[in-house]
Amino acid sequence: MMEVKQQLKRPLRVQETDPPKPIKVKLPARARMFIFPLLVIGILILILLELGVGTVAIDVNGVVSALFGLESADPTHSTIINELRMPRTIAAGIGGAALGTAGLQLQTMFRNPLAGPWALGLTAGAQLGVALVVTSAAVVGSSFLEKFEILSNLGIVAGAMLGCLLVLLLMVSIARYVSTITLLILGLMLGYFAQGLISAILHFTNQSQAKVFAGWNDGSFAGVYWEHFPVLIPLAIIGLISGWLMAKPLNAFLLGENYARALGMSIKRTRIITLGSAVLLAAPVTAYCGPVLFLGLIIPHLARGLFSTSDHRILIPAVMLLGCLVAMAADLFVHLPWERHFLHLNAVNALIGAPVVMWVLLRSRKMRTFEL
Amino acid sequence: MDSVLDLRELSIGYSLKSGNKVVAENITETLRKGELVCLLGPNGAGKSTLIRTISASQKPLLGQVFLDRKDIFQIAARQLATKLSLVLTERVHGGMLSSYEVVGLGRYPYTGWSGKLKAKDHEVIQWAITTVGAEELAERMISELSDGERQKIMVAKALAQETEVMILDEITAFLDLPRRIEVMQLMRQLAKRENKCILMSTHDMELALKYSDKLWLLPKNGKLAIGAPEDLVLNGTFAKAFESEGIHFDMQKGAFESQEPYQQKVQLMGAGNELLWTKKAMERARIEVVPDTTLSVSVTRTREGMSWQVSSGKLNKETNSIYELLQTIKEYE
Repeated sequence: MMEVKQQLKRPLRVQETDPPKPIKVKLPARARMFIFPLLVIGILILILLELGVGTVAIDVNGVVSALFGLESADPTHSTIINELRMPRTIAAGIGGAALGTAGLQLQTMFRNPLAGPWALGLTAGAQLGVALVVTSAAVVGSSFLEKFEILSNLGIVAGAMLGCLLVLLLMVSIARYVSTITLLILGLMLGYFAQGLISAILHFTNQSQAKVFAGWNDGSFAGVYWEHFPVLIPLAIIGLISGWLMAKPLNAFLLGENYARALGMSIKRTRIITLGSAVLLAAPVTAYCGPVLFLGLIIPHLARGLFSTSDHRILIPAVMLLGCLVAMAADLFVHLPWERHFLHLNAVNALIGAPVVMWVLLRSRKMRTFEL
Repeated sequence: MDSVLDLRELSIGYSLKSGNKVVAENITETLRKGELVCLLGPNGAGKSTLIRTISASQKPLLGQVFLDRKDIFQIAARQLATKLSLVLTERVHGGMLSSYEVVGLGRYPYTGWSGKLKAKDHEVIQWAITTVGAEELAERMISELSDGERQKIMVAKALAQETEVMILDEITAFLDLPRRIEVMQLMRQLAKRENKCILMSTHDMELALKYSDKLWLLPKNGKLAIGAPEDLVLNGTFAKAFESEGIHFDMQKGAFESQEPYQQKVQLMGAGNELLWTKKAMERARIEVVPDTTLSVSVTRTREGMSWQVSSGKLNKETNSIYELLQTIKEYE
């Protein structure tokens, strides 16, 4: 024993008389908690801007009086805020939070830094589902669905969820046989394929409906109205809460499946709940806002960069707030009082998103060299 | 005595459609606290299968594994994680987690749904990090560590699980020799001081011979041989297990030697370490050292340094290094 002990550079301190000095660990994430209140303040400011800025400019007083139904409120302003800008702002907030969270969940579960609802083809699956529901409604007779507005509302979401779920199951089943990059290419190809199918389907529907669908297909938070929230909000809340509850297992998952299992985590349960939550988050947003590109992919990276951690207990609330913030900012940019309205949400998303994706690709050795 | 893990008539392998593929069968063995057991065997003999079966990651074909007298497959995953910890060969990526947080994940089975660490958990984590001597690594991101440092952290993670059994699967595979020795010493210390039951599979035959209390030798025929390292050497099991691999176990040296035939003969004279290392050089160059032959080498140490005098009937040359000496002998041929 003595001999062994002498050989050790640092002798073990297990049972020695002097108690070991406690290790002081300064984790960057803990020093960055002040970012959370800043994000909340940022969101509040953006809400005011979203409600006030547009082709009709409304000052803060006007926004507040319209919001609280004060007598001084201008009735036109109240209508604009309550019927147009308010639902759009809420949709952007929920959409950003939902897509950001889904992106984080997919990146961790697939162990793929460029995973996201759009990159894996989930958005395309949802789009296809919606297209099928809309055209079948046209074939069956839209009067049937229009009679039960809530039913058509639910039908679209159900179509989106089903499409999204099918693509996800496909991706999960092939993920173990293909490399990270191949999976992403498959996801993108699936997206193009779905677009092709959607065009083919729309070919058989009537023109007015196709026009509505084409508008939706551009992706925008402006197409969401109050009547959509009874479906959108509960689903998003269930998704966000179940996602948050999985923070601990997701952390274990960072060590890889085998280590996670050896720590007592149930792989199957974690996978079902997390991926289920990702579908609940991505599909309804796609159903109402159309395909919103890039957000799900880049928000988790921005959150990791801001907080300098992969700890999901910090990242999940971070992606929710950051998603909310970025989506509102992008939406605000689209709805600034431009002279001409050619700017689309996805164009803005691509302007922020594509550089982030390139940065991730170039920074990670694994992604850069195309090997695993 | 403190037996923790009991294997009873265990057969391991895979069940395929065409029938069972048996890797090893009829293993009955007990693992005790305070012992370091090394599992050795050629590649493909099924070391990993055995480790997976014992750690409840894979069902046995027949027989049972008992942990504290309970069938290991009946123990809930979370409870099992408080009794048995694993360290694997695979490289952990871990994204932007710090080493401290990774070791903290060892507290997974003890924390609530949110994974919040209490004061007691932090104490255990600090103890684990200090025990493996990784204090300087605690703040660094796991993805920035070298292979050796990362394995140290994974051992600390296993320690933080506070289990009586630790199973390690070829964790020294990517490490250089000093790191491998360090790991072996650490494992031995943990077994002795912490009274842990440690099973590690390894390719380091010589280190395993030196450090383990017991060897498990799994040859390709699937008949697991068990005993103190010296027992297995003396009864020839050790040599036999690796014979098929084309290497020869030299019982006197306790090391593996190549079996290439000797090319030349030489007579050696001298003393001390100079003689010892010249002999080693001859062995390596496949030159047989014999008591009496025409070619002779005498090693001398003078104040200026060492010199090697090569002499035979027609040759008489002095060299100043072993490298030169070997060249000279080769040319003599």
